[in-house]
Amino acid sequence: MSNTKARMSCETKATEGSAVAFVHEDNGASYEGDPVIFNCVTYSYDNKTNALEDISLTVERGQYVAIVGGNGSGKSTLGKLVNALYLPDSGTVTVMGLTTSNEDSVFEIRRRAGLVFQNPDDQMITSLVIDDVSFGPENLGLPVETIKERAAQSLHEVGMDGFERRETYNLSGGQKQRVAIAGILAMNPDLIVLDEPGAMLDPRGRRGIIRVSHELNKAGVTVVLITHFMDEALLADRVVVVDHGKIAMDGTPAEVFVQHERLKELQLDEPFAVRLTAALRERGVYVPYTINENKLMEALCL
Amino acid sequence: MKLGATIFGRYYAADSPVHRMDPRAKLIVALIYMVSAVLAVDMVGVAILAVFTLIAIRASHIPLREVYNSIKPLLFILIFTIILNVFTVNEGTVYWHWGTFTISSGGFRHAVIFTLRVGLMLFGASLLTLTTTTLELTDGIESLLAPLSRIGFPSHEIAMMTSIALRFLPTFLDEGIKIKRAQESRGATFDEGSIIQRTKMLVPLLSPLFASAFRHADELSMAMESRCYHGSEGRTKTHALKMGRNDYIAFAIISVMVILLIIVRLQITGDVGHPA
Repeated sequence: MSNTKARMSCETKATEGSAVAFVHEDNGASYEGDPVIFNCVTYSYDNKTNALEDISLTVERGQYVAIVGGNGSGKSTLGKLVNALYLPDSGTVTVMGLTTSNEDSVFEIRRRAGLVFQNPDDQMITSLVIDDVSFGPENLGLPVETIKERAAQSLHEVGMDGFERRETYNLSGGQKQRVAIAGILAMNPDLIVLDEPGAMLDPRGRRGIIRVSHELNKAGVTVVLITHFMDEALLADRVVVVDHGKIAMDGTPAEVFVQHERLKELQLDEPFAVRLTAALRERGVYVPYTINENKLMEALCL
Repeated sequence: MKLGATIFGRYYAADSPVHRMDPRAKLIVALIYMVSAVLAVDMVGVAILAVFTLIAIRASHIPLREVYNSIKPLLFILIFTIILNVFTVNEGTVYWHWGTFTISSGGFRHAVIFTLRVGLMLFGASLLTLTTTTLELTDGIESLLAPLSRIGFPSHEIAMMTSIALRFLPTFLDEGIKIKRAQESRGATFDEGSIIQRTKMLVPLLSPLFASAFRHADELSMAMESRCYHGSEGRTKTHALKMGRNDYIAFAIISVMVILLIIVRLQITGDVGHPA
């Protein structure tokens, strides 16, 4: 019943079409609308159960969007759909105005929308850091001088200057992820999708990666962070909660994380400040609902 | 983890004449070295081989210990050569005899010479991978095989596969060690029992390793695709290959070695079994 309802709403949306259209100038290439538009996307791995069902989602230019959800929620599938590694069973994914199901656009989509994976080891394609960062630009067929410039610049942006001649194998997980990000940056993308970049890192490495992602966002790159760490999502402009292949919640971190009953239903951990607030209120200590640790501290000290 | 600090196929960063060589030249020199090592059939030949191998290691600025460590995992090949020679060669004084198995003085002599030869070949081969990054190696192989790609030979693909195999060697070694420890913590023993029992014990070691290799392959191919990899067409080659002074010197040195080996070989009557 609810399924048909969702389909209905999806169909109406589809007929409305993408009404908003504006033109961006970037790298000489222009595109209309938002960097990522999911229009009623359904995807399944085995044609039986849908990993994603009727997802409609628009990421705006310059936004920092966190996509959160538990294991098997379908959040990682979203990232692979953006990069045209998976193609939707139905519906369309439009990236920078290009449709992922159009074979001719795949190359350009992958250049402009970089994807950083969870496992740092499986992204290091070559043995030397500098070669790995150059791998993407080499595939683009850029001139050697440009590749060298971009590789140096990208390594600088992720704080890995001086690691050019180091072996990727000997780096820590956090350093490998930084190199992976640099490898994407060297292709000059407009959008970066980080698919649980910190899941296999220690807390320090994880914080480093999140800091780099925010710096890139400030520099104008649209960032989509897929994560199951709620604390990472707190700093995003927007949080999208995915559950069983559907969008369960969508809003600013403040809007999403104050609904701690709903989060519990979805079996997600709340950020520390939210948990503490709820626990205090349960015990009769009055504090306002907040997602901000500092605000909570102030409220307690008063 | 540190167990695989230097293993066969690992690059050892240093700035030496050997490191600076053109990978194509290095590959050709290594190939000549391997093939000509077959000429060393007596102690003099092996000594020549040893001298030139040591010169190469010296020139590479890599400590001998590191080179030795890198071939350590392959020592079983040497042990196998010793056993094979001792038991199968029937020459000189026979000490012991049972069916086709004989232990003879000639067997020991062969065992020593062959072991040294194979050992030196391993040193030489490991020097190639220790001083050459996988990308250089890839470029070298690709460039050497390039003429064949005109007749449809997948030279780029083979080069890329080689480089990825070398890149993942340490990863798999680490994983193998982890799996071994995990199985040991569940009570498995890998160094007890008969050969057959030990071979059987490899199954719980190798099956998870293979499973993980397939997972790595799947994820790596996605990472490569997402970074616009689409074969050699339209791909920039960042490292322009150029032969230089170092390469010509290396060719000269290896030529001297081959000539010396041939002279020594010709002085022996030509019959491997009965030196003059």
